[in-house]
Amino acid sequence: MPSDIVDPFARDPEATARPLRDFARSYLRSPSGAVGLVLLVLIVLAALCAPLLSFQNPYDLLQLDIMDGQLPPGASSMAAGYTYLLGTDDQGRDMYSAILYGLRISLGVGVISATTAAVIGATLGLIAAYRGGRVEAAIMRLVDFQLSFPTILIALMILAVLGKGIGNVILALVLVEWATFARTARGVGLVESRKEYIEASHVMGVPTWRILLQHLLPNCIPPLIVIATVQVARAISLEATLSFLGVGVPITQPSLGLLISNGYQYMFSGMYWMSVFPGLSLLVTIVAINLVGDRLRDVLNPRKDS
Amino acid sequence: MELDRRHFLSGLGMLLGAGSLLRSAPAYAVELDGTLIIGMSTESSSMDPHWHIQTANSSVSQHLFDRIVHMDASQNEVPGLAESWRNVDGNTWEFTLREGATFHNGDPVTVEDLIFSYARASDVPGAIFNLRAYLGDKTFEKVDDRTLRVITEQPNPIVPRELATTAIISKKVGETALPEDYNSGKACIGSGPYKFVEYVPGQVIQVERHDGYWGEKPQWSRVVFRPIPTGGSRVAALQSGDVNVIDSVPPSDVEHLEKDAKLRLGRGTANRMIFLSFDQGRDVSPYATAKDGSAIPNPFKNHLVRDAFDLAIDKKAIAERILSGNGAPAEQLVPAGIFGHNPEIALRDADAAKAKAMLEEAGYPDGFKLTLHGPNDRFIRDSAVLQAVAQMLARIGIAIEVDAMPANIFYKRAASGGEGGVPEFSFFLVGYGAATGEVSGVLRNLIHSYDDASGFGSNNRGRYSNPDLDALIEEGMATVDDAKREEIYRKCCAMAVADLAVIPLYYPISVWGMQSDIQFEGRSDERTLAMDFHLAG
Repeated sequence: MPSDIVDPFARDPEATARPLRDFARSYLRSPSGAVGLVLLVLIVLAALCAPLLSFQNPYDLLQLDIMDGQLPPGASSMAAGYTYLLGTDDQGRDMYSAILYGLRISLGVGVISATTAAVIGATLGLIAAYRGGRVEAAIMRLVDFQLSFPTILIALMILAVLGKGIGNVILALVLVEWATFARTARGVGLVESRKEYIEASHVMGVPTWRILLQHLLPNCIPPLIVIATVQVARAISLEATLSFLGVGVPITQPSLGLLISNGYQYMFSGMYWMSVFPGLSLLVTIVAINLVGDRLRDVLNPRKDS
Repeated sequence: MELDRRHFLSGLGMLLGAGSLLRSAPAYAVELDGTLIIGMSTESSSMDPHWHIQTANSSVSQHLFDRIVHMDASQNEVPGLAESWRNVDGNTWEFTLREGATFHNGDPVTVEDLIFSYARASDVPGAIFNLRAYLGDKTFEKVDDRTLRVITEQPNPIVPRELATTAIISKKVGETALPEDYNSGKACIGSGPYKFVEYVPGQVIQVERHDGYWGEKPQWSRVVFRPIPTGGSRVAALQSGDVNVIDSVPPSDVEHLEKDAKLRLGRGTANRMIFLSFDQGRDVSPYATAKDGSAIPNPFKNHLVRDAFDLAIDKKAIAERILSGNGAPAEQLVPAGIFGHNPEIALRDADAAKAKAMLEEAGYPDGFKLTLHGPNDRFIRDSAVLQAVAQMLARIGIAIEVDAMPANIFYKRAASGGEGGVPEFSFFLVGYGAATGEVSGVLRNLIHSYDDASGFGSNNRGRYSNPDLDALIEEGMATVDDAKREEIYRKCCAMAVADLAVIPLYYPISVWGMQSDIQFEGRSDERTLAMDFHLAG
């Protein structure tokens, strides 16, 4: 097939001149969406700059001293000469620093697992939608099979077999999340692939991979973005749950879930700061992501005139 | 989206409302001949008294089933179904059965019942822990209607203690009964101070007083055991009056419960020692490597390295800061009060600088890389203890990682997860209890060289081996004279500690919480028995 065939449908001729600005404007029309976005940006920045913003590397055992353990917020360190803004846990870990580092793990795990799951899930979903037949049946039955199990159960089983570690947590999350993406991608893909522009590309002899990548995928992206945002929040809470249950990250590198779990034992003894602050951070993070996801869904929904 | 919020909210609810998970029950004040409600951290896994020997099961079964010898609060032998016993010669013991002891169905307890119980306990279908460890070396004979003769293969000075582990059941009832029949209550007929009423797994066990009991009558006509595994929920249940007594008060709650005028705490130093074990068997240990990850000869074969580790770990700080009084720093294999404890062994003061120098002298000026393994749901604050140990070893230059995992995975790997089915870990946290109230169990199972055939060293997962010490342990175990035996055991303890077979870390202190009108002074075997609780005043 000659490669110089003009492909008139490669770009949407209807697109406005400044799509990004229009998008931003319609997104910001909702106050809750805006608040969520601001919070999320702040949280991401805090996580990225954690080493600069914190006093202590909570993952370096040499910087911890159990004689500084269980100090209330505002107490000053006996040895290191700084103030523990949010107190310390039983190992003498500065809660403020630990939360910043914990956010890094939580967000990192969430974003990496959701992105990987999105790539795998969307690819399989689109292939299923476009090819149909046996390929579709095989992929979708696998998806059904996967979705019929509670996610936490699958994740627990995977971690029990593979052992702990951030890499394994990400792997487990990818394995439980890809199915959601595949199902969404297939749904959208089915709708799109019946449309004339796909048929036209097909008739014009555009190769399959190009139709999938250049025509089908871009038009399926909006719903996938919404799902991805929600899945990041879900992955974060799932990671926190796994760590809370003691099968997630290593105990010397606590994520937010593990910090909550450690502090949880002190709940009734009045040392609230060990679990309340990481708990609040987790709550704010997930709420912020969900607000952004909600707003994106509204803005990107073609049926809704925003 | 919706599903998401639900998950999230339910998680949050679990965090904030730990206590609300409990079925709300009216708060009873305790009274004489009333009901005692006990909140237990661990649930009894069966009502069959021979099925699984762990603290929770033994606690419950002790209410329903007598033993021929009982243990008092500090694990001294006291008469149970046998009113007396004597050592005829090294290998032979005779127990005289008490007159007037009856089962809950009215049948008298006979020597046949005893012999039947010991036979069954060694061979229960599907049992998790087999009592053969205590019964295997013994033959039981009926001398007359009231005398049981026990003959051992080797001289065995602790026959009464070993028999104290095994519940006596009725032959008539037990011959055809399966473990399920005990759970349903059909076969749950013993001679203990309480009778079976109800067993609902995960929810409740109820027993009521057996009025025909031969011994002292307990003060409570009915006892209810409720499993409340979460520490915070257990404390909340006690504070709100839903339960009268709880076992294993979490360390973090000891301080504020102590200040509560409506409550009282009872303590007992457990007969258990929590310790760190080194791999001393393999020439190359998988989790002890050079800092770049390449294999090095097993550093723990070097006594200096073990000594440096012992010196680097501040046991007092761990007991004080991490366990907040729920543990006493351990200087040897068993706490004071247990037979064989050597009072001359003193607790060492930690000295990181000296430990670092010793490590240098041993040929590791820059330390090495090590993974410390341990359970995260077995001992009080176990993962916090692991981290504290890691912190202290990091200070002498060990690049240390901590891998804490659920106990059911940990123990399997610790026993046989390595190549060729050997113990997997290089350096790990475990515990061992002197279940018979003597140091001999620890010496035999933990310190003696591993020998699959004889069962010696069955818990020696580090494969420590010292032939001189082995000989001494075996000599002690065959010495019937108490004074001589104690002297030998003390020597064994001193040798094991000097040799750093393991690093003893702490003795857990079990803490019970109860309403202030109840009195209980604590037990060393961690059991919670309604018979031990009395109305104050």
